[in-house]
Amino acid sequence: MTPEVSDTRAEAPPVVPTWDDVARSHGGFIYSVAYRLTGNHADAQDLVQDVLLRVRRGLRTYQPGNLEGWLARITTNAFLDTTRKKKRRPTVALPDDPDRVLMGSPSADAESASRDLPDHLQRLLGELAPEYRAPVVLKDVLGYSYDEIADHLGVPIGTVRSRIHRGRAKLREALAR
Amino acid sequence: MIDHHEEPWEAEISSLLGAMGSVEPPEGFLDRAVDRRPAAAGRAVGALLFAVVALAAVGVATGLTGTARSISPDFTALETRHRAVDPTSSGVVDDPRGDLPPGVPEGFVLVDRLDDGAWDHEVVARAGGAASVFRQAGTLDVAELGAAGERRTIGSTDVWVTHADVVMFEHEDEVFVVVGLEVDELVEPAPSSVTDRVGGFVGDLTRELGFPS
Repeated sequence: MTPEVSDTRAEAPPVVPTWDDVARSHGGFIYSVAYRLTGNHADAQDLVQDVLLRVRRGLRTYQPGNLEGWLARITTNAFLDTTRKKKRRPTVALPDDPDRVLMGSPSADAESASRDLPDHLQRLLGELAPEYRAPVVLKDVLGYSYDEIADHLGVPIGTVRSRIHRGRAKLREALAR
Repeated sequence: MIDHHEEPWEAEISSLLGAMGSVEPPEGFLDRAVDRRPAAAGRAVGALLFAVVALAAVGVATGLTGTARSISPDFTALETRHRAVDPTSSGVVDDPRGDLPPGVPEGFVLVDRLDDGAWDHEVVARAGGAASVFRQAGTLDVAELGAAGERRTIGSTDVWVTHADVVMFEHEDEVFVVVGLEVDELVEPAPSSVTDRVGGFVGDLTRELGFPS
């Protein structure tokens, strides 16, 4: 007779992280997303502060799961809320290193061009309208699926595909300039 | 991840973006963010709201302020925020409740109010240019200011002036950072009425508890 085999390992109940855990362990992730969305450190820092406030409120109803997905959603929506608020009187954020931008003519040196590409891409990302920038960052920088992005942004998946396609097309045009 | 519907050039753009990597926050930023943690909200919201409003009224009446967050303003970042304001595009502020922020002299008008994350950002302007007043609930962490400037007074109010003429002061449980105005131009912040203070406190509380303001 074959003994009945049972898995006696009890599954640990899902644990809701504390606000401190989130801020300390995932603050870097939030910051990175915030920087990719805003394009400069000053706005990224403001956005992180806003996100941490929202996290504080959201943890009360958070269901343990994909924590970074949840944080990316909060960060993106906080970014879009901020841009909507400021839309009535647009402001232009200064770059973190104005000298580098003013002197930023393309280098003839291929190695230098390669090294500067992320900064250049970040500037071009910043030129995209927020409604294109957010899904492009979520898809191409953070690697979320179209379904996840549609869920994060609360828009139909067709809209997500369209915005990502148009956002990439604008980046392609800008890179070709 | 490459999607089957994507064209080759899209995959190339996607690949370039995917290779950008993560961005580290400035050293100490997250520690400061954790130190300035938002106050916890109560669970019995309705009862708590009533109780705290009552306490607030008592606190205001008796001058009790409770424990306040200690704030060390990143005045360089706030200067950047100020420089990003284009006063030529400012119109009259939509919200007619807006009086001039404390310390700002007559002759200025409030032209805009922005939500800059943790800071409320008010833009004031006159013919000669614009200034920004940032405000946040808390107390000024004087120790952290270090040698960044010097202590001065406006009337009986202590202010701290950085070498770049950014002026910081406390007024009625809030920290103010003024950019674009020299300290000699500022006037002593006038105390607001008890009604205004209770109203402001309730507004802050309802925002913290998640109610629409």
